[in-house]
Amino acid sequence: MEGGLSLLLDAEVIMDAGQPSLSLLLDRQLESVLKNPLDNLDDVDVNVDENGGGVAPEQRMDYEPNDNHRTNRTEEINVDLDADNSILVDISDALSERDKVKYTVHSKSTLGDMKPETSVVREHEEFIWLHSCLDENENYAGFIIPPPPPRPDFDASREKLQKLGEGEATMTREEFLNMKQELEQDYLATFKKTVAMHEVFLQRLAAHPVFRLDANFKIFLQYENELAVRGRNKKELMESVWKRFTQSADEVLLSGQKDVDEFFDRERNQVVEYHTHIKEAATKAERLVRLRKNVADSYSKLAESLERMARAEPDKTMARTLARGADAMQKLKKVEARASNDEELKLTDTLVYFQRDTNAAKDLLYRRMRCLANYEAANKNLERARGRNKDIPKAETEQNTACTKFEDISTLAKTELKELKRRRVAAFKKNLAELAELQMRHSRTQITLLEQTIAALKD
Amino acid sequence: MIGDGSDMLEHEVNLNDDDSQKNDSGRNLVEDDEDVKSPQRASLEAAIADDDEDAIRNSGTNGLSRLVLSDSRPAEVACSSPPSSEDDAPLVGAISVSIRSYEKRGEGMNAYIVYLLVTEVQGVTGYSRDHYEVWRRFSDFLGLHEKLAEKLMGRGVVLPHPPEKSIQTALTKTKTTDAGASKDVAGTRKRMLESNGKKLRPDEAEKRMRERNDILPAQRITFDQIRNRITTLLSQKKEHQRKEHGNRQRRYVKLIDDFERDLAEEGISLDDIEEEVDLERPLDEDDLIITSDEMYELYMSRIVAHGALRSDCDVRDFLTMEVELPKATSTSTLSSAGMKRMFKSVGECEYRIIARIGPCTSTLFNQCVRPTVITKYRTHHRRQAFSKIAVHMEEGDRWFEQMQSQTDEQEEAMKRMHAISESLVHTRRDLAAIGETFSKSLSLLASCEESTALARCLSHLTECEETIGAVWERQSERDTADLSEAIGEYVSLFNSLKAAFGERHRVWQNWQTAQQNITKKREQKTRLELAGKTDKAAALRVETDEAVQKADQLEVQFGRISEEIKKEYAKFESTRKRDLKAIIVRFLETLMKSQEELLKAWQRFAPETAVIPV
Repeated sequence: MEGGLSLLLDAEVIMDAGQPSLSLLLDRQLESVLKNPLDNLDDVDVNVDENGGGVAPEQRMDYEPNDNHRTNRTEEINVDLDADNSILVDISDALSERDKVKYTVHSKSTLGDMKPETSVVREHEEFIWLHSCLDENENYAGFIIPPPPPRPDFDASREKLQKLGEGEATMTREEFLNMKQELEQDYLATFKKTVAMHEVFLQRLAAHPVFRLDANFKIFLQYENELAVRGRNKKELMESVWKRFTQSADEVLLSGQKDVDEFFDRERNQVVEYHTHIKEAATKAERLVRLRKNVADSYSKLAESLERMARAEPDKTMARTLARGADAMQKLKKVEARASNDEELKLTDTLVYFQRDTNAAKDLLYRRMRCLANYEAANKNLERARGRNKDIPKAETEQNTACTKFEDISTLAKTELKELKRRRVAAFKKNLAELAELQMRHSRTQITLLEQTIAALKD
Repeated sequence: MIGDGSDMLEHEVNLNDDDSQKNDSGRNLVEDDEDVKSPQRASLEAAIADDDEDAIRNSGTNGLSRLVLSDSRPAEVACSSPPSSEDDAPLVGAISVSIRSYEKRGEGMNAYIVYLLVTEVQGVTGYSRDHYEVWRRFSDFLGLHEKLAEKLMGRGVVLPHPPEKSIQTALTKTKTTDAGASKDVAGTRKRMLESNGKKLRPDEAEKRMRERNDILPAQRITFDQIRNRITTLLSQKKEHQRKEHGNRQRRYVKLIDDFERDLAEEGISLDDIEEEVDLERPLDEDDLIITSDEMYELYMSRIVAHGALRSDCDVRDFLTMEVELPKATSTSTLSSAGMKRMFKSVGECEYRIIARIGPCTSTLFNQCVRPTVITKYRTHHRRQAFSKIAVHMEEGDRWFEQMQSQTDEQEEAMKRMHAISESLVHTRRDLAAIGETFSKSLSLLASCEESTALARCLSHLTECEETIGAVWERQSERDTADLSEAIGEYVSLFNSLKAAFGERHRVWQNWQTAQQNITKKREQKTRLELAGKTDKAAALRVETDEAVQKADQLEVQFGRISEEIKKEYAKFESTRKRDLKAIIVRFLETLMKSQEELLKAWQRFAPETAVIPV
């Protein structure tokens, strides 16, 4: 708390002195804010409100508990630590560097062959590596593999930072501060989001009865040094593209495949349909949120313009009216921006999250279909072998393995799909309830704010 | 008087120069306008050909009449200006004008919309009754403005400009010829507006409008039409411009083609979009008429709030004479002046049409249609501005110097506000549109959700999002009326104010010319006297005396106009403060109302999440 405040105060002092090295300062200052957002999270947020001035203290209090990144998780995963052989994972800290984010993964375990408590530093690429390990493991063909967290995207913030640096000379101090605040807020929102997504990925693995015993997962959690996974090189990239391509081609081929199990037949159609709709809804929701943010930006532009007018206004009372209007718009902008951020977190992200999960389910169904096709091919081979009376034992064993594999996958897939549905309902329930609650709160804040301003203006 | 000729000639030359410039720009406009009206071209061709000649003839004769006018102005001012003490007196009595309703009259090309102006008067001199109802059309407003401008601009009155004619009304005219229904609609609308003896809130009226099925026949604007419009817009260019524009045109058409193909790839057929646009909402037509009659009302209230204007005989006639007013010459839509007016609104209209089709198209529009239309309009304006400021004026009056720069600054700020508010309106409208589609895809998602409880919850969310979309839609309409248009009106008022400053400048210039004239005459006279040509010198003395008299008159006029402007400015300032505050308050109030509605929507939705069993 103190660190954050004193840092900003420091900055103000220097800016007042009008030192030319503002850009240097800016870098330092932002870096410190950006570097470890989780640490001085609350500080910065309080600061924002204080600079905005006048938002009633109880409203500010309202926001704080919500600013914890823990509430940003799309799905709540509960692990009972008292039980034997459980793993508890969280991302206790995260550090943002110029081009990557470093997550401190903290885990507690009662598992016999694991250290009881560890803390390691991991990067996004390492998460991806873990996912691809699981994805490529044949033994897990029957599971819905938790989709990997999306790559942290700070492009927008970076762009703004650049604009801030460029416009620094032409901007007034208020404008500069406003923009800086905006930047910090945006950055924090993105940051919290990416941390939450990475954390959920790990927690899902930890809560899973099979994945949590995976060797690679253990390495990921416990190996103290860097995993030194490299990004995929070109060949591997081509391979994965090729794999995708063959999979979709195979899907087309398999679409003629008759399914023996009615449950899966229905399920496959359902999942495909669901995936189309949820994808559609997710893109729409993303656009909705973006436009809502644009509206908020328009508010701040209005505020800026009103403020300029207020400054140029010769008449005192009029200037005060304009300044009040500007102030109100600025605050409205903040609330509206928060509201749209929350909408993004609670609604858009839930949709996106389950879009990815549904996709994983689609992959699972594909793998099962492939197995079925293999099984039937093995059957045919066996018949042919019997007809020719040659290589019968070999064909029989092949047929047997294919059969057990297919049956294993089918049983597992059935439970997994049911589990997915249960999780989906629970997560939607949680997020929609929070969405409604947050939106109501933001509306109320705006109403009080507007009431106060209108009353003040009418005086 | 005869000798005055040379001086007069010079004056005339000046004026003619000025006029030929105007003429020129007029001509340009006519060309540009051809682009604009091209969609209706087939049916209008003949009329336009006539009109072009007309416009040229008009601008030719205009020069003459203007000359006569400017010559006779001092005299006119001297005899017709009412005693200025009247202006100082506080306003006696009350007068208010409102627009009760409007209807369509005439058929086909000659159809037009008339507005019912209701005037309530209490104790204002010149008005014998206390209640008047008259029907007036757009050209009447313009005619009134022109008359007032002729009479009062020279006195430094800040004259508000009537609202721009919206292209939509013009479109309605040409498009609804076959529909006798339109009249009914206007009728129902009138009834609705008059119900309970008072005007409904526009949004209420509109809601009722929508509940009825007999809304004005939809105006279909298809991609083909947009394409055609672009093509015709650009193919009307002159030979040497054609090459450059040809490229641009091809690019635009390609853009639209691309867009169409993209849509096809996404599986959206054009018909869907068109239907969405056309059937669910017949463009902005109804909104636009509502907002624009509010604008007329605002205009009239500005006029009657002005002490000198309310008792002006033309205003009085305008408000009280129940017969149709004689038609003003230069106000018909197809005249060059009308085209100039339409010109601006075409840009806006297209923007609105496209903004309806969807956010993606609005970018398309920004990329292709808008630049051409808008740039042309802007260049035209810039040209006009140039012709105004010919000679630099040495400002002797500190007050004016200060006020002029302040006005410029404020106008600039207002313009910026206007631009921002417009973009706010558009973003909000896009938001409303996407909210609607989002709720549609949510309902699809709900329909294939297997858990019935979650499906039910999702469909409640669908409703909630739908309501929110509607709230944003309404808010964007209120933004248009309360913020964007109100500020736009102020931008136009600032223009009026600047026009008054310009008028003062013009008088000053005339005065300067007159003074130079005197010096010249005196020199000439001395020269003649030295040469011994006494008879000619005597004639020149008479001329000099006349010139001195004229200069004196102009000086008096200059003093008067300066005084008047100061008074007007004070009035302007006080209304500006009041109005600006009102705009801000009203805007915040509408925002608050929207937030309340949002809160209600979420409150309705919130309990639905609780009933999902896990």
